[in-house]
Amino acid sequence: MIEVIKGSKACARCNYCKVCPVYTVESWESSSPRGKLYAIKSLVEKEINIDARTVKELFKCTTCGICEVICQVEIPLVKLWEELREFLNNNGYVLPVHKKLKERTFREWNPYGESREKRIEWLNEINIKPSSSELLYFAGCTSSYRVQNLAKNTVELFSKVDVKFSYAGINEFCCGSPFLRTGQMDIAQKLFLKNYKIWKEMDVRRIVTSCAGCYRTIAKDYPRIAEKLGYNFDFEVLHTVQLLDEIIDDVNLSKINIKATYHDPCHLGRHMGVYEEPRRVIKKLGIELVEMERNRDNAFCCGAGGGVRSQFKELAFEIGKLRVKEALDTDTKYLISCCPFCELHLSQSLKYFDEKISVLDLVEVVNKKVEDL
Amino acid sequence: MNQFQLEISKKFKRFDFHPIQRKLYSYDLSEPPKLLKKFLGVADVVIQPEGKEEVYEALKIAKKYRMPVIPRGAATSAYGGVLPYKGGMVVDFTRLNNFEIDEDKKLLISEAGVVWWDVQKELVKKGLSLRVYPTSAPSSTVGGWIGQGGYGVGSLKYGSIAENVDWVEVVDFRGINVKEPSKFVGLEGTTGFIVSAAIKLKDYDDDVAFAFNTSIEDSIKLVFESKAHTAFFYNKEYIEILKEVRGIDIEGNTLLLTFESKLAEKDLNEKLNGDELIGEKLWQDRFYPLRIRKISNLICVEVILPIEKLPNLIKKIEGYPFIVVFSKNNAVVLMLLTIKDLKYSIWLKTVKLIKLAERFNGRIYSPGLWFSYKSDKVFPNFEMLKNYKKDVDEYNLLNPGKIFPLGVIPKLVKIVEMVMK
Repeated sequence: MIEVIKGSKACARCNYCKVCPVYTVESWESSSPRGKLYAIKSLVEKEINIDARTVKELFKCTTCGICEVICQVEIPLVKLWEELREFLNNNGYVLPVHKKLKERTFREWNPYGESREKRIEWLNEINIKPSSSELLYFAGCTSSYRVQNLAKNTVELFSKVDVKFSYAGINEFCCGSPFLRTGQMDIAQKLFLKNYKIWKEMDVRRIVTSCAGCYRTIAKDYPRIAEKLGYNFDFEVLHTVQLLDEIIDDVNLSKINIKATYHDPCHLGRHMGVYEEPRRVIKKLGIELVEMERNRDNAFCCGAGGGVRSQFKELAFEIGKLRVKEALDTDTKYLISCCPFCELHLSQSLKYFDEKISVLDLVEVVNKKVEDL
Repeated sequence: MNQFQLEISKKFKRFDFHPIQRKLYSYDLSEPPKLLKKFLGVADVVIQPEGKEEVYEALKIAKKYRMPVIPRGAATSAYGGVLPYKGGMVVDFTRLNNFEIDEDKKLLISEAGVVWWDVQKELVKKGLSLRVYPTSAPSSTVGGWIGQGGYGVGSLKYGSIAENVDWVEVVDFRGINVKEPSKFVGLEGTTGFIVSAAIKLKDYDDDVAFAFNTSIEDSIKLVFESKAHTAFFYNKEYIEILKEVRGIDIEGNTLLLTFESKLAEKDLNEKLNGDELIGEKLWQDRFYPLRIRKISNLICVEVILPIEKLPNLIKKIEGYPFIVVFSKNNAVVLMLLTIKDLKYSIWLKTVKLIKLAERFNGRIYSPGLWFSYKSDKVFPNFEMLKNYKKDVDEYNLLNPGKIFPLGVIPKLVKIVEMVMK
């Protein structure tokens, strides 16, 4: 909490963080990063009292990280928001839907509350068998339960380009991203331990995931949790797009003559710095890439992350609509991304528009165009 | 719910009575000492009007309940101008964010809540550009800067914001009217709330910036011999901090001159070894004077003084990091006091530096709340403005305590100043 307090005092109050997606929609000081920092300062200095409304306002943040990019005094804001949320949780200030997600996950090890058996349904629908490879495919909860097409396309593509992979099946557990982002560290650590144990049992060396949230969590949060709990985290972690970028020159592709735009998922872009790999793959496919006005580290969030979609649905869709509008303004027919959660949210946000654009994951596009070896 | 709250909730779509929101609309960039903080109020309600009629409605309610009403843009100033000193209704202009571009007349017709840099991006698409804008342009609002007054990027060629406003549309207790700007620019809403304004534009041209390693005396010559639209001088102490924060390879006192490309004085640049690369970096950083806050907490002191007196002041403030913003006929000096803790001595130092500038015919950049007792030095026509204020605001409800001194705070600051004599 010391870092949170320091950060709140370091704020120059310039309001350049008005680019925050939540503030863009709500335009109240309480929803801006600057306002939140001033609220923390006021709470610490006992100038205001904490109550349910204040807690709610502090949680209205997708942790997209654009505030951190824009901050002229370079406050590490994403870390700050997460630490603040952890502090609030530890002191009993947990939002009802976030709490529900945790309860569900303790039951079935995924925040959607689906059964463990259902996690592997997508694989049963295609005729591909995982091997005992040291490369593990981590599908993640959204691809396993909600955007199964992505998981199917990923392993189909692996099969076509002869990438051997293993898969934990019903022993794949939620990575913990929703809980790390909402400050529920206890369950996040539990999920780390469950996944870690199974990966070690499977002799995994590399982990590849097609979810930006899982990628950020496993690559960035797990090593920290491992260190804290005294485990040796020696896995190489990749996002599918990084693997595609590695192999794309060696596969037979039929070129596609289309125009498309690309949405940078916050957890892949700002959180992990992966901006160029998807663009290189898109260009290799022969797609004419038309950038949205805000792209790369300046990209506008889809609105789903940080527990916003679950707790503040209306707000999440207002943000999603703004991003979809930006995509529609590119006058392209395809909105490509590299995250099932973004894909799910953007395609649902698109329903508010008469104009149409196909929301796709890059893996799906590549899979359709890679010729069988 | 009392009668006032009931009326607010009936008349407005967007309002908030919750303590968190009221607190968050009761601050700006200033960090006053505890002694002064004790006398500061907190907003009673925050209203976000979505049109000028709603602003008028807010004023009518303010009059009915004899409640102060305070306009607020992005709150990026440090003079206390947006603080609800005596409590009251804070009117947040964020949602008044529409604008039109009159390409023939080269005028921007903008509502008060429009952000300067947002509108500049749209102007550029039409081959036009703002002539002046504040260094806080990425977040500050049209109404905010006009209300505060002052200088910024482009002021060397095009003057202060006051010289770039054609007309203002103002809401006061009598209604909504288009007016000549002089009784409103820099008056912080005390004589009426600006809801929209017409702002002069120029044809767009790329900016070309050069950095010169030179003394303040030579800088003054260079600035006024050049056709630059913007000139900033950074002293060596500021440059040292900037180097640490930004990693720019730069040494000593530095002058930044920025030209419209068609007027870029290549000869001048070559003759004086101006550096285009460093110039470009400093130019890109023009919106980030607070970046140096990364290494230390800061208190900023801003004064304006005549160009001919600038070297005298600068001799006296050697050792402090500072930036000079040149305008047509005077200079704004932004002195930055790096501090570990907010001690009272820092505030005494601030008052001392302002007094020092006054010795050289300078003045505080903006009276706001803290220095409202100095308004007569800022506005040569202050008596006339006082009479106008009485005429339009008989109960002193329009942003009370700003520009026109009221209550304990200006008295306390004045006592401090007198004691220091």
